[in-house]
Amino acid sequence: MAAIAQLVVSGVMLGGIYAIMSIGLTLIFGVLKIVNFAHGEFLMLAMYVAWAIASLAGVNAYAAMIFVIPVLFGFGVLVYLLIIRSAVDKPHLIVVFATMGLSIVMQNLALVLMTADLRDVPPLFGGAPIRIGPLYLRVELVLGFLISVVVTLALMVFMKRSYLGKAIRATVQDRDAAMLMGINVPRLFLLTFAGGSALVGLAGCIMLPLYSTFPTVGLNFVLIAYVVVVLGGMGSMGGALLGGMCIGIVQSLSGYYIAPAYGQLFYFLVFLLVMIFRPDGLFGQRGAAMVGINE
Amino acid sequence: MDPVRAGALAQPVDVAAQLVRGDAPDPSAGKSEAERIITQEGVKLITGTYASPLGIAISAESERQGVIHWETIASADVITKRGYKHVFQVGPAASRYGTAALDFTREELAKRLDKKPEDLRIALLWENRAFGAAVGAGARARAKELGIKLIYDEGYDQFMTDMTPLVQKLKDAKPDVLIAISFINDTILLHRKAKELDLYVPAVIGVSAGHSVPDLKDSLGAAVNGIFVSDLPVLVNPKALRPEVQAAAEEFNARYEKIQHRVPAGHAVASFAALWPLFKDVLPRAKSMDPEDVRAAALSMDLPDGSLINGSGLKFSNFDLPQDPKDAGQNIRSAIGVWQWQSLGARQVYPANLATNDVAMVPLPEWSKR
Repeated sequence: MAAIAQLVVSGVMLGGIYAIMSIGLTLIFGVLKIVNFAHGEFLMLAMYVAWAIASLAGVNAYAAMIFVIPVLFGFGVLVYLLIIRSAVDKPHLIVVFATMGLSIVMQNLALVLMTADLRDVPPLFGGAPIRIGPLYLRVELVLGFLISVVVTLALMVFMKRSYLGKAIRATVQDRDAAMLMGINVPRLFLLTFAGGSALVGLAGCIMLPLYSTFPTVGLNFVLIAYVVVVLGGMGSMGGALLGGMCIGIVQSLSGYYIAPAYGQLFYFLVFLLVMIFRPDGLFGQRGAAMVGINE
Repeated sequence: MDPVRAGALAQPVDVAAQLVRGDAPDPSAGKSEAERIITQEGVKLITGTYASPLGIAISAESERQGVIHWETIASADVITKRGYKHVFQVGPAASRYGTAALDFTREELAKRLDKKPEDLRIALLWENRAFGAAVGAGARARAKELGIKLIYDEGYDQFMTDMTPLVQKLKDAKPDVLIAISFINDTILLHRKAKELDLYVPAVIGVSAGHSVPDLKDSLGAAVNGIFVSDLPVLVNPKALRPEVQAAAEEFNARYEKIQHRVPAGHAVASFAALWPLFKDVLPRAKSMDPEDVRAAALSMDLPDGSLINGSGLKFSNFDLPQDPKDAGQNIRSAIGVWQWQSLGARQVYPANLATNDVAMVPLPEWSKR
């Protein structure tokens, strides 16, 4: 019984981490209707920047957020202006190849500049876990989960209440009508792409205390991010949170009760079943992929 | 392309060769790159693949093109069991890493854990690609020979992002000894999760790869001390080496430290140990660089143990091993042993003739005291 509780709680916590690394992707997809195939490498960059700041300034990775988020926002602006802006209205394949090319360039640049060595930061409180009854939880995992939930909820409120959030939703629903109402759509696209990138910056700071970083670290996570986004309902932030938790629990329980060798098999199986029976995702609305950001 | 006078350590030898570099991140790229450097650059001998999947793919291409593949550290058993005539593996086959872990457990750990070998609870955890599966098979076979039961034997995907299920299963199994075959990222995740979930195992033997690289110490800090590594020997007892080899070992270590600013790991030592006799003995003895002549020279090698800086000798199988008639090109005198992460660094502790230090920290302290 204690084992099941441990697996479920660990799965839920990890799901929160999966959600925060996927939210930038879902935001960009929901608004710009493009899939950023370099998402994993954005995460790699964020983890390296967080590592560099944490190591150089001697602060922990969470404090590094103050720098990493603006750096990734700026990087998002740069990528948007140089690559995405001219590809966004072209056929999907152009964006696919452009972002895939960016992904390969980033991986190889990281390999040249940082070598293949693993980089990580020392654990908080010497790595001692929090113990609640029979459950053991790493402090960094709990912190990451809490930040993830708070940020997701805040973003949902932001989308619903703020002027910018409303403008984003209006653009998603009808780009031409939004333009006629005076919304600067190209600027909104830029802000959304950079904002999505900044969210990856946040994810990098949360993940660095849990995982080492290296040039191909993004590949370990990017498939999970795609599954989380689609499972949760494309463009849905709350969906990403629940989708992440769903993947975390499936991974944890299937690894324990069936075989750890097939962890990916089971969450992809769940993914396929959801796609067959609920093509708009577990928590998405019908046609969400076309409409974009959900409530 | 750099002209090299390789083997040019203490005594330069007259082998002039040209070094052609090929880069490949995965097996299919490796195969294409091997084809390119053979057909376009006229390469006659390929060496330097570091991982089994690369070694398997590139050696297959070398054999197809009729050039020599001189394997240094890629170790999957299959590399020399495909009936190929131009593939030579100087380091030990992967299954021997598993064998060494079991022998060490029986001979050294059982008495220190106050148990008979057959009463030990041994868990075997292996990443499920070429290397992990091959080492796992070697350990399993040896356990059967020794009459030792494995209470846990499971493969896992090395790209797992969460080790909770594995660690929870190990907690349920309550092993005395954990033998883990993993790469670096999964090794770090495994030990961190073991600490998080308070999985206590009195003795841990990692098998080369992830457990042997300096990154592990950088990540785990002092918690790495006490972990054993079944591996290519690192710094062996000088008495196990022939005098001229001792001098080469000292010079290699000094040069390596000067360039890399750290002591060499087993893979670095083994890579040098594999190429040194190639340039010092095999190529000078070959009538020409023609692959058939190099093959004949390699097969004529008969160097006793202690001839290479990691304690190995050099003699290749050639479809003549009674227990394995399909094996050709495996160095049957390659050395393997167990070293331990100790506070002073990596120290060879097994077998006795190669050991520089005694086994320490058995049983391991609890996590809170590490």
